[in-house]
Amino acid sequence: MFRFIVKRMGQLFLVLFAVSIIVFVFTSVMGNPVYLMVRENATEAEIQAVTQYLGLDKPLPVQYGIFVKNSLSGDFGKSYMYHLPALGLIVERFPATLEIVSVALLLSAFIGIPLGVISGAYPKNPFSKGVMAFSIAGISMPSFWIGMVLIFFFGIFLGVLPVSGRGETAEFLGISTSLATSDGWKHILLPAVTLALGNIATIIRLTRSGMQENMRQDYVKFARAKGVPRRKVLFGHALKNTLIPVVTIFGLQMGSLIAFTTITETIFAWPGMGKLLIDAINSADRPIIAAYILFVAVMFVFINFVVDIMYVFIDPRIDLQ
Amino acid sequence: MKRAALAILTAFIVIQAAACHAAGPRDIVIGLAGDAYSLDPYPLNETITNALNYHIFDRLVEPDKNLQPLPGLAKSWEISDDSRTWIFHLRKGVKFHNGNDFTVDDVIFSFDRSKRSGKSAFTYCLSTVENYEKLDDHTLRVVCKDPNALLLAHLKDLAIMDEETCKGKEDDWIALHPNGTGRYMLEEHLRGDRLVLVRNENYWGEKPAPEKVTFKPITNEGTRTANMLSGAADLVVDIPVRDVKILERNKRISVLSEPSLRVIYLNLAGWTDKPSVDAKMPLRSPDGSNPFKHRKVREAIYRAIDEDEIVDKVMNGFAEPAATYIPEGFNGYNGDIRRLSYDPKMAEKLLDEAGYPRQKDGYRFEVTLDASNDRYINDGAIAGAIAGYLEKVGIKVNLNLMSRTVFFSYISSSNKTGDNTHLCMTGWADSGGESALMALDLVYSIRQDGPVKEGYGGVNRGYYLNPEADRLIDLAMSTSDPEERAKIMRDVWAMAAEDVSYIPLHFQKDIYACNDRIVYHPRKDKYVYAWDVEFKD
Repeated sequence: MFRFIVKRMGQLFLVLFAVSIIVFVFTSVMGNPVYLMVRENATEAEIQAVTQYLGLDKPLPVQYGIFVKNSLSGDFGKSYMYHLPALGLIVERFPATLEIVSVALLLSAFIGIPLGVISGAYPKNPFSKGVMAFSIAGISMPSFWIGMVLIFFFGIFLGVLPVSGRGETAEFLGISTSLATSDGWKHILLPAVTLALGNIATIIRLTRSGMQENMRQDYVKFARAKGVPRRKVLFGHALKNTLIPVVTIFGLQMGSLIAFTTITETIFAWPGMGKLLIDAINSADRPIIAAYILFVAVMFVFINFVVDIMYVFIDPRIDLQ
Repeated sequence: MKRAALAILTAFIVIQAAACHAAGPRDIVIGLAGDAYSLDPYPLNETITNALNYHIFDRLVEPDKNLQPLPGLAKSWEISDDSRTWIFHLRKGVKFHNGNDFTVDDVIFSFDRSKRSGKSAFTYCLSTVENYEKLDDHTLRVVCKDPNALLLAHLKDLAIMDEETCKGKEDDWIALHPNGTGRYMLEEHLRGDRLVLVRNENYWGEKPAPEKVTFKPITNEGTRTANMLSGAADLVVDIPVRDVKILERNKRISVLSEPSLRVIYLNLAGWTDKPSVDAKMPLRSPDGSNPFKHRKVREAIYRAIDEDEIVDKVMNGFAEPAATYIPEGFNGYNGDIRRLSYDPKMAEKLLDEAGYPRQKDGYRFEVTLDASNDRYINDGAIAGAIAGYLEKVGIKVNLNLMSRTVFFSYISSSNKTGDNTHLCMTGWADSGGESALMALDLVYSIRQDGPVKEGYGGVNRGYYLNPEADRLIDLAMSTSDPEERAKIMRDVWAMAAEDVSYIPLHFQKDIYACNDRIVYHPRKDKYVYAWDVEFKD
C-alpha cells in the first residue's frame, strides 16, 4: 500500500510538470493581456509599466522559471483582472461547483444504476426499451440546449423554479452552501439535472450491458436454483460484479464534471469554477488559467487514486501492485 | 435509516422555506453582463467594475447626462487665467460609510494611490498634473504641467478613498473592505453571483429611490433574457438583439435602446509611404504606392460602403449611422457634418481618377482588413460586409479576423518601420464628454516612429497628419471657456471630415429591458446607476 502511494505521488509530479509546461506555452501564445488591462488610448509608457508589473517583459523561459518557483510555494500569481491570488479565487469557487456536481452524481447513481439493473435483467420489457430510448436521447442531446429548454419550461413557462444564480446560502459545517437552504435547492435543481442527464444515460448503458453479461453466468443460475430471491440475485450478486467499470466511469465523470461544468455554469450563471475559467479565457487572465488547469490535474490524479482503492473494497481479489 | 434521512431533509426544507423573505417594495434587482472584478476602484478600468464602484465611492466631480462635469465631493472650483492652476473647494461635513470625516487628506491619499503604475489603471487621470497640495482642510490646489482646461474630464473618473481605512493595509484587504462616501454601502458580495448594496442614509446629496440593489452578473445572453422574462430581475442590461421581439411581446416589459458612445470606424494608413511593412499580407498596388494617401481613394472607400444596409441587416436596426466620431451632446460636436452618400459608381470613378484603374484580374489594388470578431457587436460580420462592398468596386480584400486577445496587440505593434495594419476596423468610446479629448487621441498627429507630442495621438492609427488641427487642439486644451472650446473643436472636426481621416460607420446602440415597476433612464456611457431608476408607484 505504501509503495503504491509513493508511486502515485511520483506520477503526480510527472503529470504536473508536463501540464505546467503545456499550460505555460499555450497561455503565452493565447494573446497579450496587457492590451485588455490598460485603457484603449494608453500611452506607450502606461503599456510598458503594466508589462513590467506583470513580468511579461522577461523572456519566456525566465517567466517559466519564476512561475515554477512561485508555484512550488503555493503562489500561482495574482489574477490580472481581479488583482487577487489566482488559487484563492479558484478555491473560493470550488464549493459551488462541488455542490452541483455532487447533486448531479447522486442523481445519476440513484437513477442510473437501478434503471440499468432492471433494463439489463429484463431487456425485452417495454419499460426497459423506454429506458434505453431515453438513454440515447440523454447521451446525444447537448447540455447547453437541455439547459435552455429546462430554463424555458420550468423557469418561464411554469415559473416554478428560478432561472439562474446560486440563491441563498447558509453555513453548514462551516461551509457556506446552497444545499442548506430551500431557496438554494430550488436554484440547484435545474443545473444539476442538466449536468446529470448525460451521466445518467451513460451509467444506465454501462450497468445494463454488465448485467446482461452476468445474468447469463452460471452463478446467477445456481443462485436462482438455490432459491435466492430475485431481488437479491440482481442487486446482491449480479450488480456487485458489474460495478467495477461503473465505479471507474463514475470517478472519471466526477473529475470531468468538476473540471468542465463550464457550459452549464455559464448558462445558469452559477458562480462556480467553470464560469471563472471561461471568463479568464475571455480576458487572457493567465494566472487563473494556469492555476485552474494544475488544480484540475491534481484533482484527476487524486480521484483515480481513490477509485483504485475502491476497487479493493468491491473486489478483494484486485491487487493494487 | 433512509426514511429518517428523508424526514430530516424535509423538515429542514420546511424550516428554511419559512425563513425565506420577499423583496421589499423599494428593492431592485439588476442583471448585468458581468461582475465587478474588484471593489478596489483602481486596479482595473472597465465599465461594469467602475459603475459598481461609483455606487460606493464618490468622485470630486460627477458627469451629468451629457457627461459634462457636475459638483461631486468638490463643491466648486476655480481655474487660473493660464489654465494651469486649479483650486478645488471640497464639500464640508461629508462622512465615509464607517463614519470617518472626509477631508483634503483623503483626496491627496487617493491621488497618490492612483499613481502607482501597474497597480492602478487610473494613472492617466493625473498624468497632466505636476503637483497638488493641501491649502486647508477643505481646499486643494492642483497645478498642471501644461495649460489643461479639461482636467475635470479626467478627475471625474477617479474614485476618492478613505485614508484612515486604507493606510498601511494590503491591497487585497482594501478590495474586500470598500469604504467610500457614495450613495450605497456594501452589504454582500458573492463573487460571480451577486453584489448587494444598501442605501447610505447619511449621503450628503439627494438620496436615490432604491433602498437595496442587487446586481447579478449573468454572462450568458439567453439567461439574461430568461431572468427578465421570469421576473427575476427588474432591469437587464445588454439584451441580445434577437431577443428584443420576445421581450416586447410581454406587456409588463419595456425595451429601451440608447445610442451609445461607441463609434465603429475604419482606420486607413493614409499619411505614410510605408504602411504595414511587417504585416503578413501587406498592401499591394500595381505601382507600389500607398493608395490611401490619395484623398480620392479614401472618399471612394467611404462611398463604396452601404452603411444603411449594414445597420439594417447586420445590426438589426440597433445602430445609428455615424457622420463623425463625436456623440451628440459632447462639447464640440459638429452637427453640420453629414455622411457622404453611398455611391459605388462614383467610388469607381474616384478610384480611376486617383490613378488606380482595374488591372487585368479586375482588381485595382489589394489590402488587408484587420478586425476583431469578439469585441464589438457583430464585428466579424460588419468586417465581412465591408470586404464585400470593397470587392465590388475593384479592391481586393484579405479579411483578417482575430480574437480581441490578439487583435489589440497585433494592431498596436509599435514597430519603428511600420505597423502591422494599414486598414483596420476599431471602435472608440470616450466618456469624457469633451470632443477635444477625443481629438487628442484620434486626430492629433503621430508618426510611425513615435508621437509628435508625448501622450497625444495614441490611437491615430492612420498616422493622420494635420499641423493646423494639432494647433487648434492645443488651443482648445488651454481654453477654459466651454463655448469657446466648442467653437474651436467644431472646426477641427470639419477639417478631419474633409480630409476623410477615418471612415465612420455607426454608433452602437445599447439595449436595456425593464419591467413595469420602474422607469429607467439609460446613460450614454452605459454606466448603470441605481439612482437612474425611478419607481412608478
